Amino acid sequence: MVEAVSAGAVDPEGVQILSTEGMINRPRISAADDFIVATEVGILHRLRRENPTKRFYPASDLAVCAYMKVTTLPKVLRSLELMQHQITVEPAIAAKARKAIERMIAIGGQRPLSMKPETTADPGE
Amino acid sequence: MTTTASRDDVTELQQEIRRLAKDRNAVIIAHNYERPEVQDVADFVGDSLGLSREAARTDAEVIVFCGVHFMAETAAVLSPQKKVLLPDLAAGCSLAATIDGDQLRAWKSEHPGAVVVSYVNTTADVKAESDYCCTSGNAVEIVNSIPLDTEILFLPDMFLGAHVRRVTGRQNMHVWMVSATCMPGSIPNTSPLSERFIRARNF
Repeated sequence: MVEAVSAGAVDPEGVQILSTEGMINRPRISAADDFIVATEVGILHRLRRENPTKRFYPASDLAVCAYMKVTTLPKVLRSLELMQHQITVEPAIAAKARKAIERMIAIGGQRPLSMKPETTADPGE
Repeated sequence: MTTTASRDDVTELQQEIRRLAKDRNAVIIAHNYERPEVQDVADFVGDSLGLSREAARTDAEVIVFCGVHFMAETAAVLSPQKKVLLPDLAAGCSLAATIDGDQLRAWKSEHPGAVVVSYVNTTADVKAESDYCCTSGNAVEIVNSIPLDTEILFLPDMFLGAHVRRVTGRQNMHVWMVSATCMPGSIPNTSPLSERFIRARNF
């Protein structure tokens, strides 16, 4: 999509090229009621939950990251029960990787990036 | 969880998960692309870097990362004292898998003096070989911060790379050209998107 707009294949009028957090924030500040969302379809759940009066349409129903769907509630429960699967990074590698992330943050372009879902207190909703 | 699971089953599982998370002093974080019922059980929902930073801020001892492997690694990098758990090790990323530390070291040796800018969808090993990380939201800003006469190696997303090169007009920026992107069509246990697919999409 970015390529298509960038290359001129899609009219840039009305198109916002945003990070996923940018996509989450945009409908709140936009006057529009209808949004075509060109990223992974999982984001529609959060967009609809946080913007109940607005409508969201996937640019493609095929935009599904299968890796993101392998995590299910039974696996989350099992993970907590057995404390698995721990992910570790060797300290020397972690220190160098951290430096690359910190150099990015020092340049900017960052802001608070996450929100507490409204339904957490009542997970049955 | 299958799609036939009843609403009661989902509610019961979510309550059990919340109870156990409290017992374990664990925080549950979920990426925006996770299943709705997984997003709903999480303490935080967001993008990969935002979640890792949230994980670093929390007082919880355990982080259950409902996302993919490189994201859990990033959380571990930013929270070395905490235990980071990934519920299913099969949660990979076809984009992050297009370049490993050895390949990046080899690429760097062909461009001595180049500055390496890596999108967050990379392994910790690749981040460790990089000068800067970037997100889709700040890639242009990061590249613009690098002196014009310095060569740049940008990886691993060739679409983002091509966009950044076009926007910045940067001629001395090399983009890792492997035909994998994260969407659409990333399917575990199969090869990344084929070149044929990308040509068909007329990118």
